Amino acid sequence: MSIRTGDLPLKAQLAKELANSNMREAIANGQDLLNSKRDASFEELGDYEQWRETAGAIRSHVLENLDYYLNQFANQADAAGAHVYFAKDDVQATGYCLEILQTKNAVKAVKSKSMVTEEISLNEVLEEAGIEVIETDLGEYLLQVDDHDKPSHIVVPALHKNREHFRRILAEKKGYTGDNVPENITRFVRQLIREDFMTADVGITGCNFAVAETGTVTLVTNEGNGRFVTTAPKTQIVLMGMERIVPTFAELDIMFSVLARSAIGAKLTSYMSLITGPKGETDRDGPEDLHIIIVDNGRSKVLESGFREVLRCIRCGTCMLECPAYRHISGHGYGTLYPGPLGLALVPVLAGYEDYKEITKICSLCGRCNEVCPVKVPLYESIFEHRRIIAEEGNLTNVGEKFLMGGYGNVIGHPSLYNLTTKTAHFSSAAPVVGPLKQWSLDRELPEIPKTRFRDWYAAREKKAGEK
Amino acid sequence: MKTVSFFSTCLADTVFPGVAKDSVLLLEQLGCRVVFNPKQTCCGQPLINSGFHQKARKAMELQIETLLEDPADYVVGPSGSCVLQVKEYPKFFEDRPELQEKARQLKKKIYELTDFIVNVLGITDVGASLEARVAYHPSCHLTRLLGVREPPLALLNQVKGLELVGFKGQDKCCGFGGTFSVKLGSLSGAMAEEKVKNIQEVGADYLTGADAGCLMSLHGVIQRKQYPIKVMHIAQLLRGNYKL
Amino acid sequence: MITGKEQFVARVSSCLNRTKVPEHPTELVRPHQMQKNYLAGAPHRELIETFIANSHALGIDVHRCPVNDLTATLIQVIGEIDGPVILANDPLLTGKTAEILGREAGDCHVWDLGESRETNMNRAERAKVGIAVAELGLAETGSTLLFSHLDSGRSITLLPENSIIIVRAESIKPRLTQAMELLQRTEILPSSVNFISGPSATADIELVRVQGVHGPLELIYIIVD
Repeated sequence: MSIRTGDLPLKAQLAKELANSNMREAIANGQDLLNSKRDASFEELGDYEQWRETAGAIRSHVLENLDYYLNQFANQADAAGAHVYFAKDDVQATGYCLEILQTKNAVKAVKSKSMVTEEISLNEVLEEAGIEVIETDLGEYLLQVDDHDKPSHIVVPALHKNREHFRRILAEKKGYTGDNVPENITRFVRQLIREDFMTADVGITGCNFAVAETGTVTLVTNEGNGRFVTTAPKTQIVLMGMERIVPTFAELDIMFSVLARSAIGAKLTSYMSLITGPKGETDRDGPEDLHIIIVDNGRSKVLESGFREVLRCIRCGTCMLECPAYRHISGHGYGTLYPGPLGLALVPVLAGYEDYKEITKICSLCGRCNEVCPVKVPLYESIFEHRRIIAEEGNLTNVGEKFLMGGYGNVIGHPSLYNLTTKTAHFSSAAPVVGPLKQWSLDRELPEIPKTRFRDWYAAREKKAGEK
Repeated sequence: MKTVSFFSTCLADTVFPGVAKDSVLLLEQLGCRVVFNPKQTCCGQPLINSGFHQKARKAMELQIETLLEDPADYVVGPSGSCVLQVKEYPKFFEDRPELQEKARQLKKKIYELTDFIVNVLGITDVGASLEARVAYHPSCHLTRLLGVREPPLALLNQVKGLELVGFKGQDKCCGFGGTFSVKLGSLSGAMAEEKVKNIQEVGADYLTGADAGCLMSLHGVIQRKQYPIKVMHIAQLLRGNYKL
Repeated sequence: MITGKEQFVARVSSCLNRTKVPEHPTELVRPHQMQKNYLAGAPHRELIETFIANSHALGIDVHRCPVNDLTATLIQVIGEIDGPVILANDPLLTGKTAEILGREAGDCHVWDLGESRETNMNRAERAKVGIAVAELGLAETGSTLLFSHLDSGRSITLLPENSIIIVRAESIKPRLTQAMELLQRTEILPSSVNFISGPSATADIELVRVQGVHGPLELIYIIVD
């Protein structure tokens, strides 16, 4: 799939999403429900600020020492019997993956949801090589059936769809004859893909956190598919972004404690799986081979930029659930795999300003994201700084805007110019409603600009007082 | 008697002079001496938030010099976002130590209006009265970034007869966001519409706030929808004027 | 086997403005230690009560019995579920217990290293109940910590629709923090360690919680004293 998920230009993409009232209702309800659950969950935990500061300090420490911990993790995982591959980009990562599958003559892979695998377009590469790939997270499975629709949120991928839609596509594509009650849909899918779990050649997963001290990879899940995918197939492949490391189990404690509460308002998820090496020799289930592919794909660019702390992100999805802009356009509105405040902060550095500068406009700078991020990523500051880089460095901004902004700066930089311009401003009420005025007026009336300014009133009053 | 150098903000100066006028009259009513230096223009937010920091430097320097020029104990402005922007000025002048020092002085002296009235003057009851159901919009920059949450509520709670009504999504961004409102007007409008819908649903007669930018956007929606909700800045409400 | 490490890690080092991987990381200074406060110094009775209350809140059924009554309790619980049983090969469950359960349930197997992978997994897939023993219980989250290795296959608490996990009362600790301490002390980590905090569930459709997805539909704890 890669980072880009939508091809329309920004305004067209936004217009498309704003017109989707089903999605807007689903997202608004989703935000309200999950946000109140999260609030209650952290209220119950207590000392939220302390947890955030601690979690943030741990993540920052890891980034500061990332070379050390990657080295330690690889050595430990190797000692535990895993094969470890370092992939500098998507091509190398998918290449390793394909090689492993082809060596095993694999024809079917079952996957547990992983954002990094979507980032590197893994499914596409495997499918092109004739390997059947089945997404097993319910939301991802339903999207896959729905003509490979893209996820609209990084934790609840099908947040933008409703139950009736799912009933319909399952009826059309999989012969489902039941109603749209979520439990019934779920039971149907369980029975439908159970055989796939048992007969797949390879299980592919992501990794929530990798423990450097022991070479352990961890999966935080609810549905049981993560466990299934790492139990039944004889070969397991884990893909992880290179920044997803914790030093020891003691830090894993803190990260686990904030992740589920942030993401879904639950203390913990149903399952937290800690996998160290392939199965023991005499074990009678679990993978015989464990392969761990560690992916850069732009993360080192972020690490060396002034935006290093954006890599603290633990992919909880909170920022987008709290974002007032995301609310109306969902992840699709951004046209990027990582949407919302995370997307704005990360994607321009991860994948380049040239292609991704437009999304930095999708923000009213309300500051809510900073307040809620469990690891205190400086989201607001990052978005703010991206805008400066886009405006001031390189050839990233158009001549028209540069000119207008320069003009504005000139006017407000000189009292006489400002005085003159604002004195005649009320004539603009007669101006044609084009450009920015048109943008404003789509849903609102324009304000009327009065003949007298405040300064005129004040000057007149001073004059009168002086005359007395 | 405290002397205040008034920071009108370009929006209040040119589009909503009633906001600036009532702020001055309110400060005088509460015993301050107010001076206004007409060399001031605009804090530069529209440029800075869009990333054009260099192009805003002249204006920033102008504001620093102008707002400090007249001998005054405080500088006060009727906008959380504009006051916040001025407080950020020191960051932009690492390369000009003398100017940066002045910017630091200004940062210490400048207050948002309600913050000043409640926390410096120590006043919450300004003698106002209004028998109405009033919704208060807590602007994002004022609350989250400047940290001014209680003062507007403290003032509104002392207005005789005024019933403060809460509403769904009250502390959500209204969607104004400065240039955001004209760059991505439809998204900004969608955010404003939802907020107005929630205000209308609780039957508020009045909508007030401490940032004219937000109010301008919400008022625009209210006018488009022809809802009978009066919109005004808190300074105007406290002075008995009920029109933005 | 490790592929491509040197070049990759060297790139990371250069991003951190250095030419080689440091001998030691910088010191991690934790600003707070709030995780230590939870039920610190609480009497064991309180830990158990909290564990039970939090398990209930997650939709987990909880029974409790003296260890000598475990077999009888298991029979009672299994009696309500009709179908084959698969057991972990744990001292608490094997020997007489396995025999008795076999008679009661009819189809009852113990995870058997003497049998093949296919045989064991098919038994687990056919079973309606899987029974295993936890290393620890965690009061704050109603969680159990399971080591899946050797005689306690991962499949036992995954494939059957019903999961019964036996928790020794004295092994119930306040929270994750103590479990992580145990893991750090464990010299050789099993290849699979699971924290289980409920039956399988999802909210992927309109955020409506559905219990029972790909993992067990029901989870039952039996606390033994």
